[in-house]
Formats: sequence, structure tokens, C-alpha cells
Amino acid sequence: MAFVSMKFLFFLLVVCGGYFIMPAKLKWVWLLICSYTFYLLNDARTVAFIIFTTVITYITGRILGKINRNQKTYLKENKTVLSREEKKCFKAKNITKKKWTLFTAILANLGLLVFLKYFNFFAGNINAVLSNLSLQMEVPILNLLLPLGISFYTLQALGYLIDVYRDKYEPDRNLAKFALFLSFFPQIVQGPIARYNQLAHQLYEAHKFEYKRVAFGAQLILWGFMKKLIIADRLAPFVDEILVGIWHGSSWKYVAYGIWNGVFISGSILLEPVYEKIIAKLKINTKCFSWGFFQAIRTTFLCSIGRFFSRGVSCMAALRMIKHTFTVFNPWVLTDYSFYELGINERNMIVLVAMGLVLLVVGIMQERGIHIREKIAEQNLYFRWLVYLGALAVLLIFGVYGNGLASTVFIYQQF
Amino acid sequence: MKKKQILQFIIFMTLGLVMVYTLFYLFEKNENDLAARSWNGFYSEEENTIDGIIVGTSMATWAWVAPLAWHERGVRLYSLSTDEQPMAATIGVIEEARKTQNLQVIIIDVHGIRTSARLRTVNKMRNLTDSMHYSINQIRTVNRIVKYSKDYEAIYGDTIPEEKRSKLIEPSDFSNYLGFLNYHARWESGLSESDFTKESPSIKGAYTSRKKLFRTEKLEPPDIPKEANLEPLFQEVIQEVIDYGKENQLNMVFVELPSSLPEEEYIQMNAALQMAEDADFPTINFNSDTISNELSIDYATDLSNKTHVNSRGAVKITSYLTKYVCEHYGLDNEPESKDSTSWDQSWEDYKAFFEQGWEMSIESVLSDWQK
Repeated sequence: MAFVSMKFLFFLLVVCGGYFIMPAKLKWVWLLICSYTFYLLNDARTVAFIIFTTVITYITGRILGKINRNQKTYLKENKTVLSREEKKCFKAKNITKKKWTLFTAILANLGLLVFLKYFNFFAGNINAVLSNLSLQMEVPILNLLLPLGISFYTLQALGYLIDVYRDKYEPDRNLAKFALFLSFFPQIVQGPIARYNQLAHQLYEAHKFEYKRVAFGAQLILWGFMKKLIIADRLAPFVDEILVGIWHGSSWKYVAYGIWNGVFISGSILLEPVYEKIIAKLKINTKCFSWGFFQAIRTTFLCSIGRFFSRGVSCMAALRMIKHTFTVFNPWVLTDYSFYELGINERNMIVLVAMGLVLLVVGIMQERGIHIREKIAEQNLYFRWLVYLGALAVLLIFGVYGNGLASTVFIYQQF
Repeated sequence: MKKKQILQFIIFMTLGLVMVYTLFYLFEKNENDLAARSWNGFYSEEENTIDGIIVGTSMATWAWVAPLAWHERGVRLYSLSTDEQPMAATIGVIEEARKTQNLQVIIIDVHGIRTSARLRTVNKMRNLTDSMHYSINQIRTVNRIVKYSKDYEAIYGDTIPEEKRSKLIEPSDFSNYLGFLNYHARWESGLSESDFTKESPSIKGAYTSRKKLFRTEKLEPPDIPKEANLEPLFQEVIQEVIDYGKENQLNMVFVELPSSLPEEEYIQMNAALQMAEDADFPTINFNSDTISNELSIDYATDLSNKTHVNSRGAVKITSYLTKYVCEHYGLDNEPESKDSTSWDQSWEDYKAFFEQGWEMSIESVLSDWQK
């Protein structure tokens, strides 16, 4: 069930309507039922996988929590009896126990993810190597199911386990509630990967209907739809896929893309003190527009290089594209209308430019800490309504959907 | 939520719905589309001024000249037929017409159940359903066609050619019901004032494609077999129409318009006509020797192609059917209505259109059989 579909909108209405009608105690139960319904509607065959991850993670969390608690109690009770060395020894034993417990759960969860997502990728590569070596052997290619959001919920489960291992918080005592945390339907398709201590309590608490919050939520959804259906889907002919790393797909080009991004992200973190020294030595003012502008250009450049790997059909193709970018000077593609041949006409371009400007203005306002929805809410009623209805009309008319204009699926769907 | 907020919410939602409905209305099927224009013409007629309708595929559209029926007997009878209109949509079409008109006769062409017209692609359904106004009946009509298509695919799925598979009706596609989803992007091809006006055809109730109506294909009269046989799925479709007619006490006439098709397709249509006769509905087979000779249908000059009459054939069919419905249902000598001017004008325009196309008078075409 795609987010940009009538089915999903209807589903969302039922979920929200039901949530506010439900008694406070049952609100989280309703969300759990809806989340699993969403999952079942997508593919009932894969529900066993998420149940497996939920149960394994829940049990492991409880074991880790118990070890943490026992350790605390034992140390507290024997505070005066135990020597420093004995305490150390006891802690070390517990850490080993916890490590093995955590390792087993990670192996089970990650093993399942790797097997379902990458078995065929590795099998293909092994077969290629075997073939090059003229060996009459072949690893079978399996017809595997890919559960919805398996990467999201697996990584979320691992995050939870690592936090419990580090004793950041107590493990969840309620399996059903924990199942909701891992399967919450708006997150399972698109993420983001949430931390337990940030998300879980929001799901378990009973929220009353608040007009302002619901209205703001509806506005946020409308804005999201506008960005997706008017801008992103219109740009789809230009941008086949914008993905990050091997997590996104099983192909060597994504490995290269992942390495490229990984090197820059970790490099920038590790070298931060060095940069700070250079900035201080060169007396660069980092509080002005020009510095921000430089940062934007630098990041765009580095990201664009990485995108060659995601867009190219192979690593070699990506390298060729990079070479051409720097050796073939052809800025005229921007002025000779040749981009109209890529599936976008003049009228669509006007819509894109107009919406791009709106996006830019909104972006600048957000940068400056202006809360747009709050600002709109301050306006007179009729003006507010005009803005909302105008936005809805723009979405309905200019959105890319319907017959022959199928909205492209979200890139993170099925990851 | 305070009372004031509830009130504001209701007003806002109402305004939103009005706006959305206006957009749906503005971004309907392109006005240049023949089916849409034909339906617009029908919708623009005053209530209770139309005497009857003819329902079928494009064969019925080509074969019916409403201005001639008006001119000859004062009969106002519209063709509500679209290109490859599914037979399963017949009840929906009749229901839609009955919302505003007191139909005294309904003529149904049975060509829709023959082998070569059974498969329904999504565009053929939308030809009709996107031309209809949004209503419960439009939804029901879509549902009927969707059900038929599902049943058809379940039985004859293996015979569907590969190139047609992507064009089949997707039952869960919401745009089956909401034309706006298909046409909201019409702005891409440029919009002008005419795109937002609901134009009726200048010649009401008649097909006016010069390219198609003023040509002939020298065809042989078909060999009509005696046998009658129709597969259960299509029997069901016909039976539903018959039951609906009985239930609502409608004057329905089942016809088989002139065509030149393979023998097996006439076996299927014979069965459909037989079913209608068994249910005490009158039938007219224009391919039978009796009527064909009476009407002097010449397969070498009166057909545009194997499945459609040209305008020469159309005036003959119209004249015959007009006479038939007047004699059997007392439709002629209707009192003059307010819209008679537009009908008179349509007749003048059609006459000129016909005579310019063939360089002969309509009367000369009709003189033989009218004597």
C-alpha cells in the first residue's frame, strides 16, 4: 500500500478516526492492530519474519535487562563485602554473558536480513567467479521473499538491543507493546529508524484529539504530498534513483556509493578537530553567508560525485560518467532545451520551477527558524483557508498521479 | 474541540468539498471526445423531453440519426452508445437516462456479446463511465463492468492476447470511478476556454465523422445460421438486462444492426435475440432477409465497414426504427416542445451534412422503402 494512494489515505482516515474514538487504554492496541493489518495487506506471507524479529529482540532485551538488574542488585547488596577486584571480575563476567546474548540476537536478526536481501547478490558474484575459473559449480539463486521494511525494523531492533545492552534504559516488559514499536506502520515503509526511548512512549501514551495538532499534521501531510507528487515525481525522468550504499540494493555500484559516502561522513567526523584548527589558523568567519554558501557547494559537489554510482548502470559506467563530466564541456544542454527530450515538457518545467521556488522560500524560512505552520495559524481565518484550499487545488491539478501518470514508489519502500 | 472549532471545521470541509467537486467538474473528459459530447448533449436536454434511447456499441452510434427521427415523426430518441460499450453496462446506461427522462422505448443492439466484442479494456470502459456524471449509478455501472471483466478473465484469461493484458481493467484502480484522476493533467496539453464549457454536439444525437460515414466497403450479406448458442457468462449478461426490463416494465426492443461478420458470431447473437423473444420482448434482425429486403439494405453501399453502417445505411435504419417505435409505442405526433427549434436546426444541419457528403438527397435514399 503506497503512501501516495487512495487506499492509504482511506486507511489513514480509519486509523486516525478509530484512534480518537478508542478508550485511552486501548489506543496503543488499536495502533498495533492497524500496523499489523497494514503489514498483512502488503504481503501476508512475510508477517512471520517481523514476528520472528520482534520475539527474538524482546526476549534478548529481557535477558539483557535481567543481567543489568541482577548486576546492580548484587553490587548494591554486596557493596561492602566485595573487593574492587571481585567487583571488576563480576562485571567482566556479566559483560561476557551480555556480549554473547547480544551477539546471538544480532546474528539471528542480521543473518535473516542479509540472507533475504543479499543471498542472491552474493550467489551471483560467486557464480561469476566460479564461471571465470571454469569450475562446473553453481550456487543456486533462490526465489526469496523480501518483507516490507525489513531493514528498518531490523536496524531499529538492533538499536534497541544495543541501548539495553548499554543499560541506557529498561527493556520493554510488554511483548505486544514492543511489537507496536517495531511495526508502527508509518515508519515501516519509509523510516526513519527510531530510538526506543524517543518513539515508544509516544506510541504507548494515549493522545487526546487536539484540533491544532491534527490540523498541523494534516498540513504536514499536504506539504509532503506536494513535494512528492508535484516535484519528486515530475523529476523522476531525470533522477532514476537516489540511494545510499549497499543497504539500498544488492549491486556493486551501491557498494561503491556506500564507500564513497562512508568515507566522507566518517572522514568529516574524524577530521573535525583538524578542520577547526585550519579554520582558526586561517581566521575564517564561519558565521557569515559566504561560509554557509561554500559548505553548500562543497556538500553538493561531493554528493553529486557519489550519485554517479547510483545512477550509472555499473561501477565502470559511473567512472566513465565522472570522466565525461570533467573532460567534456557541454553546458549547452541547459540552454538548448535538450532536457525536454528526457520526458518533461515546457509546461511541466514551469510547474517544477514554480514549486522549486516555493520549496526554496520554505527552506530559507525554516533555516531562519520561522515556523511556517505557526505563521499561517496566526493569519486571519479566510486567508488561512485560502492557503489550505489553494495548496490542495495545486496538489490535485499538478500532482503526478492517475492514469498514465503513476506516482513512482518511494525509494526506501521494500528496504 | 470547542463548538466554534467544530463549526469552522464543518464549514472548511464543505468549502473543500465544493472546491474539489468544481475541480472534478472542470477537469472532466476532453470535450472533443465524441462519447463525452454525446453524453453532454443528452444531459443538456430538458427533463422528460426524450422519448427513448438506443444502447449498444459504436455500431449503434453510427446507425442512429436522431434529427431524422425528429423530422419524420417528431420522435426524440438519443443514442447512448460508445465505442465498444460493454453489454454489461446496459443497465447503468438505461438507469442514467431514466434519472431525467421518461423513456417510452429502449432499443438495445446485441452486437456487444459477440466474440470479437467481448474483451473490455479499461479505456473502453472509461469511454462510457468517464462521460457519465459522478453518481451512485456511475459507480454501479463501473462495478458491473468490473465484475463482468473479472468473470471474463477468469474463464477466458488464456485467450487474451499479450498486448491487451496491460490494458485490462484493474478492479482496485480508484480512477475507474473518478475520471478526475485520469484527466487532471489535461493542462499539460494546453487549456482554453472551450475546455471548460460543456459543449453539446452541433447536430444532436447523430454521429458526424465525415471520414467514416461517407465511405463504403463492398461487403456481402452475411450467412445467418439457424443455430443459436451463447456461452453462460454472456447469457447471464443478457438475462440481467431482460430481468431489469421486466422488473421496471420497460419497453425494450432488441435489435441486431446490419453487419458482415463470421457465421459463429451470428449464432451468439441469434441466442441473445432468442432469449429476448422468450421473455416476450420484440426483436428486429436487420441482417435477416425479410427486413434487409424490406429496407433495401445494400451491403455493397450501405456499410462503412464490416461492423458499421455508413450514413446511407444509418438513415435507413433510423427511418425503419422510428416507424417501428411509433407504430408500436405511439410515439409520433408528440406536442411541440420548447426545444423543437434546436431539433429542427439539427435536422437542417444533418440534411446539409448528408447531402454534401454523398451529393444526393436523404429522401432519395429512403424513397424505396418508404413507398
